[in-house]
Amino acid sequence: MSHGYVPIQITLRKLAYDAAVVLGIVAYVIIFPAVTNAVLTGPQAVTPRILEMRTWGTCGFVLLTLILMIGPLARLHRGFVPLLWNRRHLGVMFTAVAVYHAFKVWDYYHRYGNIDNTQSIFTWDVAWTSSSVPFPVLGMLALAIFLMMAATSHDFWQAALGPVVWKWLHMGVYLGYALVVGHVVLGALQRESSPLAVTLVGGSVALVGGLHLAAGIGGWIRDRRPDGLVSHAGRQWVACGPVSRFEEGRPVAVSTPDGEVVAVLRHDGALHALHGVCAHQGGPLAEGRVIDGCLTCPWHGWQYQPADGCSPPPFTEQIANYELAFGPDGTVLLDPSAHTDAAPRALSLEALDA
Amino acid sequence: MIRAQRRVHAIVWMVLGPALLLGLVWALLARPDLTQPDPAPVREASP
Repeated sequence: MSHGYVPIQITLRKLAYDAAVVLGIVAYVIIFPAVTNAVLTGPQAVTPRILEMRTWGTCGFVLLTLILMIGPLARLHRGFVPLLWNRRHLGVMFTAVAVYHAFKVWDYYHRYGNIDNTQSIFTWDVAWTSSSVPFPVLGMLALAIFLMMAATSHDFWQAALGPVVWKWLHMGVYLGYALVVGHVVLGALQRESSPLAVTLVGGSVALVGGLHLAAGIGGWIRDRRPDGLVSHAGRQWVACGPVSRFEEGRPVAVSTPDGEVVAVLRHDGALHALHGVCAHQGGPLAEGRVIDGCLTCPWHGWQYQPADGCSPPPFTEQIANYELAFGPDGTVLLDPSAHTDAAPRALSLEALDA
Repeated sequence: MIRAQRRVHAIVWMVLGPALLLGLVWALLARPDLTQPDPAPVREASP
């Protein structure tokens, strides 16, 4: 938001989120080596330096899988939306883990030759794998993408690049993930006989791909069924369903005939309808909820007053609002004409009782 | 914008998901026989 807005604020929620992630990483880097040392003994035992590389490498892969699961999970079930709020911190922490893994590899496998470590990565003799693919290069390319994303994750870059360009740029995570899968499959898995490693990689791809497809197909089906139009008082309205459909503070997405998404919500004894796209980054307001009396975007917490679509003072952002009415049978009706005059438009639930 | 991006997400994964899984299967089938010992290194004779 504009007026004195501080884009990145440290809140208790964010601190708890970050603390949980750090604790999870610490627990992983303690438990993984302990379990590996207990399971792989004798000729299968792993040296401490290789174990360290595997620990941070697998930790990064698990983190990347979790990051990619959050988006579709939040679209499939509202309960996962809080995981979205601080996903950028998770991404930056994942990048740090990946950098550490890369550093350990750079400092071990590529240290003792007669050429520079970095040059060694790109001229690796791959003859020892049947794939003959320079898998370290795939990892380095993925790391370059993740570093670019981490460097541009700050709100400054969102503002400088604009929400559309920024979002498309950060879809590079999919290419990064594909490169990481190639890096693991054509590298470590070529010499790894444990079914656990194969299950980890295959399960990650199936889970991430399956969730994205399920969320995408679900959204596509919803989009193909726009809410029905009805005539009332000489005008065309979109039928939104009975009042019981609307839970206090939980918006419902309603599609207008021209393809717009409107967030219809019940708050403080009235129904309100706001444009479903956040002014910040185009986030889905209909997937947010009411916090402190304002409809709050699930992506980065931008807020709008339900009645007029204006951000609470001193902020100056505004989104369109819409007129609502009750039909003869008590159905909630939405006038699909957007209003940007900042005039309050609320439909009191007392009108239904009268 | 959200709808367009979400459609792209779904289309990307319709291609990427099966491609990655097929790639995984191919790479596992093509890997060396892990039950056999590594061949002895070949050294060139010194002049």
